[in-house]
Amino acid sequence: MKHFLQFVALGFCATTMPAAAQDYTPDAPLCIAPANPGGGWDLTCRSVARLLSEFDLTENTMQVRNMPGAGGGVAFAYTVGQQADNSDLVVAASGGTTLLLSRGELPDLEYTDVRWIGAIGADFPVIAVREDSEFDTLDSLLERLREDPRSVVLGGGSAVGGTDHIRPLQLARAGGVEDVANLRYISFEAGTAVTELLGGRSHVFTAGISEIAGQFEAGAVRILAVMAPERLDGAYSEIPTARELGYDVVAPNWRGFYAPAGMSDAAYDYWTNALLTIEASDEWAQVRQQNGLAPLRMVGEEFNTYVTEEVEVFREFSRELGLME
Amino acid sequence: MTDRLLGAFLLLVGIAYAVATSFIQVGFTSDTLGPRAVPYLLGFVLILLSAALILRPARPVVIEWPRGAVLLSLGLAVGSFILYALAIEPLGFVISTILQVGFLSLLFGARPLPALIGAVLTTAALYGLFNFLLGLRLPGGLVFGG
Amino acid sequence: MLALLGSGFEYVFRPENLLLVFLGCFIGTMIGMLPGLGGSNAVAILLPLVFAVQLEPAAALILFAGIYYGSEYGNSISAILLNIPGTSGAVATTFDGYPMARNGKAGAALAMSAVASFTGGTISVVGLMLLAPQLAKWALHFGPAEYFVLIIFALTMVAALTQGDLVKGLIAGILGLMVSTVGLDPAGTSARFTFGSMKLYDGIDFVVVMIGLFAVGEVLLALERSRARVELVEFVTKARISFAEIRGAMGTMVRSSVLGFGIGALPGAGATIASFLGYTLEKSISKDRDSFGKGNIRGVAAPESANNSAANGAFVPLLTLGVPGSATTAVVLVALVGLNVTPGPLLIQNHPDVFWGLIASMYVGNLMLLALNLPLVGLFVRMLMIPQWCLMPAVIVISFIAIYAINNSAFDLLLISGIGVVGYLMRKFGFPIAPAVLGLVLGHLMEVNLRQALALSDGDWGILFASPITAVLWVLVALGLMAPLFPHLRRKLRAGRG
Repeated sequence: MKHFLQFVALGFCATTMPAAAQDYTPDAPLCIAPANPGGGWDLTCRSVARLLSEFDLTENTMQVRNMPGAGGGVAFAYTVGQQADNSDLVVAASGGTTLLLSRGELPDLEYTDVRWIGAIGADFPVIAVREDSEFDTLDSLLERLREDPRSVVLGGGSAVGGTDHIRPLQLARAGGVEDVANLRYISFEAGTAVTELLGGRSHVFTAGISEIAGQFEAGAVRILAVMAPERLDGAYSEIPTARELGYDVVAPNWRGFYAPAGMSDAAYDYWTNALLTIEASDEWAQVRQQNGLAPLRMVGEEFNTYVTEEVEVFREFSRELGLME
Repeated sequence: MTDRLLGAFLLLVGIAYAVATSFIQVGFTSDTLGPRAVPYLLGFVLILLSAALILRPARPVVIEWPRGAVLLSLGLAVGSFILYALAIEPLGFVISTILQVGFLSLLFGARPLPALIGAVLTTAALYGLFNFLLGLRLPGGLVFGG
Repeated sequence: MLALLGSGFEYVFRPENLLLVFLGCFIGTMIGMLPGLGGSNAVAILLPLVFAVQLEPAAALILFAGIYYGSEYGNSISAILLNIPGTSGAVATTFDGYPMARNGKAGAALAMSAVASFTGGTISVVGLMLLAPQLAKWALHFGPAEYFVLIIFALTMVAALTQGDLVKGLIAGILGLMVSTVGLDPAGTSARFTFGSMKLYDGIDFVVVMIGLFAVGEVLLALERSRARVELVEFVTKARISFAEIRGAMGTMVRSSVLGFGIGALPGAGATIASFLGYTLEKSISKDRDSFGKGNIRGVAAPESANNSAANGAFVPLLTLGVPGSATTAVVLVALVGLNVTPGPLLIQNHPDVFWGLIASMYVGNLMLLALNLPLVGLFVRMLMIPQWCLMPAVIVISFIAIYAINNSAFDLLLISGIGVVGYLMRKFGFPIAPAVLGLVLGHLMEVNLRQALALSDGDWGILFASPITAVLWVLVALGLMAPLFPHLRRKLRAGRG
């Protein structure tokens, strides 16, 4: 656990790598978005495709292909099974992808079956309550969770055992709650988690900050903590991080890419460098802002290691929740 | 009589569904109902309804079933749908669609030449519509590069 | 407010924005006509383009609103002419629209649909303008328990909708519900009925089922008829809609529009429930119930006003809470965020140009759609004159390609082939198709909300009866269940008197 956190910290402190000489350029670059058009993965692919062309990093425009199914599992199986040697292919991914892989729900597929390229933005999970809630601080919430764990309803957008469920449990664990499996989490569909909080039926909102931004600006909700390494920019700068409140949980819901395992090293270098170039650009900063994403840069080997750590965390909590052996 | 046979078939479907429900994995953090409750209820209701279908007084229902050449052409049509589904990726949109439209036109009683012309024109129009106007990715297949 | 609305109109009446409204309506109508594709697909398809040309947020919304209306109307065209609804919101339109077309009154049905859509659109825009914030507050009282009872109420309509064999109608509804349980369960932890296949993990897309049952099933029936040389009485009269008919349906359109708007404003409920409810309401209060399902023009007016009105109602939660109320508004949400507008309680305050521009464009879009489509009715009707051997293969191929394009999956094509056979057999055995679609669309929502409600109450079933809203809805459920008995009662009363 500690190691994992150090690793995240490292990711944020890493300085830009020197751009290596380009001895590989993809001929038919392709980005698979494992969802329907319009979703987060689709936007990640399309934005990167546009910026690759704008920065002349590709000769031919990167194509975007939508391949929805099984929360990204269909695209993963396709990549491993049928595109294992394609050096021109990257696939959009996020924390949901590693979660899926950590449970072993995809038959015979492991997170090690692909090469992890990098993450270049993140939506950080928050602990938010309605503006008239009895919980003024994260401490008061955690105290209640310790004393009467069944009296608080946590609501998020992801499934039971999904990221919106596991992140607050990590925080509760750090806050001294013993039996985290006893906490009540309700899986609402995207968006409903917000209305259920406003309607007063759920007490705590646990999904990413981007989903509740409008309500926060309007003062309808209070954000008790954000699970980011340091405070976010702009209007969010008043929100304390969980870490500064004394609960060392940093948990980015990252947006990034993986590639087929058989990708050549030259191609891998090309893609990591391309991501670094894009991440450092003003254009990407704009894309991030438009999608409610905060800055994050974990590219190459460090990202690979981070994914390994994240899978371990997910496995630990999935076991406690009885979702896997 | 037809209704009773159908009722018996649906009864089996209901039972099979309920049995399959009992194999659904349940994690211990599951909510009050869990993943099995609703399927059990549905299977139970289907069993009741199909029993009603079997036990109620017979109704004079006349269903004219297709026979002979009509049945054959229906079978061929369904067969062509399946072939189309299997061929669209390897053969690509253009070739498989021309074949499918042409074949169906013949089944619907068109003469060969109009069927062929119709198939080519339909395919061209749809290719333009989906590929250029809607920007949807059509399978290219072996001929037009995959 | 009038000044703001005025500036909104000023914005829409710029030539380039008028062009966008026109384009939106036109593209939407064309895409909506294709089986399997609806407004959300059209918006999603155009999304990258909107980002690429960096359209202003207000302009993008104008385009999307036009597409939305257009596709709702386009769906009704294939529903009326071919008995193939493009989306589930148009299923109820087939009940009387297709019989009308069979009676040679396709033109009147299409014109009624256009007028009803216009009425629904207009009434709901006024509602959106005046009531959005209040409605949003009301919608917040709708928790999982309330939704669950609402869905139970909607399911009781199966009984009311079924003509003839009630048992078969109920079986069709149950089969639809059963198909909805395939895939990952609502809590997201157990895979059900997937038989280990990843392809079934997300469940069976209801578009796939709908296209299979309606489009493929209908083509198989048409093939049988053409081979067996059963000549259909296929004649197209120049029968136009009369003002008397429109006036006669006025009450229907207003009632359905108000109903549709209220339901559309609830996130997640949407156009399908609205159109079925609108249809059932009109049928149950009508004096000549028996003519419904045989080509009653009010049976077209009701679902068409209701689904358009609900489509607008879905903008209420989007614009006031930042929560999308339907698949299309979900894509619009992405577009808004991408264009640097944060949807939420402050949207109307911070981006008045977006809100009032949208309202104005909805007015204009509605009018444009009417002006565009009434003259085209004659052209659409001619589709019926295309020989079967040319039309039916095209219907199959369009359906297959649309389904393929949505999920990029050849597996879905095998599914619609199989489901098409089921659709054919259901018709032969005298099972109604609509209850199956209703069950499929509502099944997942029903289970999700039931389980969320019980999770909120920590297992106490009392939550399903606790609030005033649930109480009112349970009364409606009881009335809905008794509805099929009303004619009997009436007959008995009459017999007793006579």
